[in-house]
Amino acid sequence: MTSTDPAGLARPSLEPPAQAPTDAPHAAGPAPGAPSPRAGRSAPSCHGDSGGAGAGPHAARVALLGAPNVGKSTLFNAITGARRTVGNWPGTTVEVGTGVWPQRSGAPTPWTVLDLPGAYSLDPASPDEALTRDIVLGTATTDRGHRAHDATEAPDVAVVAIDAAHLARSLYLVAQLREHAVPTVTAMTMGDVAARRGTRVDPQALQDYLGVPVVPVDPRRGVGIDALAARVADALRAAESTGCGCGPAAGRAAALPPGPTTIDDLDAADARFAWIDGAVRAAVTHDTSAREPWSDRVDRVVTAPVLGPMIFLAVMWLVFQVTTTVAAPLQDALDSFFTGPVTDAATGLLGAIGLRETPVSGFVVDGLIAGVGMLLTFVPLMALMFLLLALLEDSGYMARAAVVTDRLMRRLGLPGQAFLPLVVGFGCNVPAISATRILGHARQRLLVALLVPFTSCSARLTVYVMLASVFFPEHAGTVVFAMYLTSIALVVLVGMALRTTLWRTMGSDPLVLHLPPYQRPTARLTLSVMWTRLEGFLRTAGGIIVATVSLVWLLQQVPVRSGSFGAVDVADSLYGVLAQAISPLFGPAGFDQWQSVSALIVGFVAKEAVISSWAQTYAVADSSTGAGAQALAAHIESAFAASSGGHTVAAVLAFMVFLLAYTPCVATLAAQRREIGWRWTAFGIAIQLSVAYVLAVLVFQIGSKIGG
Amino acid sequence: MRFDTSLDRVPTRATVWCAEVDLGSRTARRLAELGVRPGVPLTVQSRTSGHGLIVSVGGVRVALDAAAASGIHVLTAAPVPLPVPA
Repeated sequence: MTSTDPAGLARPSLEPPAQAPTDAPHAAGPAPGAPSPRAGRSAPSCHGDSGGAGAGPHAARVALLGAPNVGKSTLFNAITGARRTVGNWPGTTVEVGTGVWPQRSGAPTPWTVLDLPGAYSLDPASPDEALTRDIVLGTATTDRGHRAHDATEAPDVAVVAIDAAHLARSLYLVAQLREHAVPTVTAMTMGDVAARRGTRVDPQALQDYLGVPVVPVDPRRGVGIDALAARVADALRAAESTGCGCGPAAGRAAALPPGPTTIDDLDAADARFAWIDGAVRAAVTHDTSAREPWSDRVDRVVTAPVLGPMIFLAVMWLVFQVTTTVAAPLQDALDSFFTGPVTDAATGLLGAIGLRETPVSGFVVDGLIAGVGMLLTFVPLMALMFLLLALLEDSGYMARAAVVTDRLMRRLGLPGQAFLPLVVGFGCNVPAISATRILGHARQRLLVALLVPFTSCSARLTVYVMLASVFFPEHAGTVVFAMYLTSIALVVLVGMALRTTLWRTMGSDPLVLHLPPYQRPTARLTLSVMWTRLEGFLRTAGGIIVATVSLVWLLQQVPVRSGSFGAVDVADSLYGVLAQAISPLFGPAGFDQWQSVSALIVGFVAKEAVISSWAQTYAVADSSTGAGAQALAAHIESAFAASSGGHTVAAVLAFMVFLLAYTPCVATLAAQRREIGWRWTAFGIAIQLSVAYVLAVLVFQIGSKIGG
Repeated sequence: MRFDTSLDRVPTRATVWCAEVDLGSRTARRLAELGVRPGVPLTVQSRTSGHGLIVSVGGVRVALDAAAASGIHVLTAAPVPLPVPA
């Protein structure tokens, strides 16, 4: 799977999916010394997750780039006030974010800021790196493969985030940008980490050597942003006045190697590394008395051969244990609030306008308030889980987890980095599908995109918690943890099955993973990440719940067997009849009950709506008991007991396993279609439904035999 | 090129010098970008599961699996620069 580039150097073919950026040779970029682009700008359109609009078609465009995990997205957030997902692990940004550099952050006029995926160089090893290269050089393509940006639409200034603690790995990109005559300003991050390691970087000496401005910043605390804006403004003015993309300090720069089009690529790379070594010698001093960094001592423990995996499992267990136990009382309080005062007030209000005991009352009280209220009771739980995962990411632990799980990933023919999108999947499958772009091989991306739906997303957690607290009140945390272990097992087993059948020849690069230094999580960053995810969950779930509640309500009003529109028993409605037609299929799995089967059908749209659908069905069927959590639990308990012939535990476990393994939601399918196409998406759905059904039947049949 | 052993055989906490990276162009380039290039000193920090290791290079910590470590050939003493012809 190699091709030959113009320099005659064999390089892997990336085989990008239809929508991924192409791996065009970098000779397609502007020639060194070409005039800096100025006019005809437009907002980027490469990928969906734009993170916000730019500053308008005539605003200057500032691209933010750098090696993975140097704090680009944190810097982007500090500049724009946006809340992009950030994490102390490589590969957090896989799509382009767009924002505005406002005047309050030092810009004389608002600029458009692009947050690009991390890249060590302009020689991409994966589609996300190719995207960065193409945008910076103005050769990005649209979803249909056309050029989205011609040379006139390249960014006006590149701000390269460089890591003071690991300067050498940050500067290769700077060397290449200068060869391509891209006006460049560097923002030096991680000064605190460097200081702790006994490393001191002289920004002035570095600036003199590089020939581009060097601005120390601390985006986690919002320090240095105004100074950075001032240097970007200088660079914009200098580029406009000279027409050369050299940056304001270029005159003093140390000699740079010639561009890759004039000498062999390997020689060019050697010359760049020599230049980088010179920069490090000129600007960096090490305190040789500095003690061994404590992070090395921690690494020795958390990545140790036996202890490391045990610590990883213990950490994950703790996350789910803390999440379920701490959130429980808050959930109860919120549930009481919605089923008590809120429901009473709505009922009173509807009574006052003469709508009591009407279908409208059913829609508002049993549908909207029950559904949305049920969703809101999960806010403390989700907030706590997002908070704990954000702490783990911000601290740097997640990169170590990728090392620990590397061996497991190898069995699937995947590199350790494949663990990262899978971990993202435990939060939400949709961004996880996009995160597969950090992988270099097309087959690896396809395999991971097919495995991501088996990672148990946070929406499924709501149903586990609800069922576990009803049926296993003493061991709810452990049961939920077991579901996550089952999820991991499914990823491994399905991955191994695909590997041994479809992808026997799939190669895999050796693991080479940069371990970012540990850092103390900041409240500002952690809370910001938590809120971004919580907001995303609420926005998605809120919209889906209102939509599905409305649809379910409508289907429940349509008579099939008896009654008239708006006055029909739910079992005789279109909703009930459809679910009853399907439910016998689930007899062998122990939950042949139309109420639960209909919840699963709704769950195909989104798992967030499973509980609200249950609540709505039972509340409409029996309005005397209301829609509270206790009433719902009682209904579900008796339904499972009846359908399973007394083997309630086995039936509940079978239901939970089915819920874990079948298609997560339509949004995930849309993300899969974008990354791997319809055919593979349909293949994935077939696998998910087959695995879910077979597993649910096995769990019930075996569980009921051994007395569940 | 002359080398003494491969990185996977180097004991923990020992410092060696990278002589050659024999891992294919993609991996070799990624290693070079992280600082693992011929001539630079590498210190093995610790061992990880599956016979992998964590190596320190110029302040950067890089995790390598067994395959990557075995493809990095090293010298156990600092390389002596060749004399420049007069």
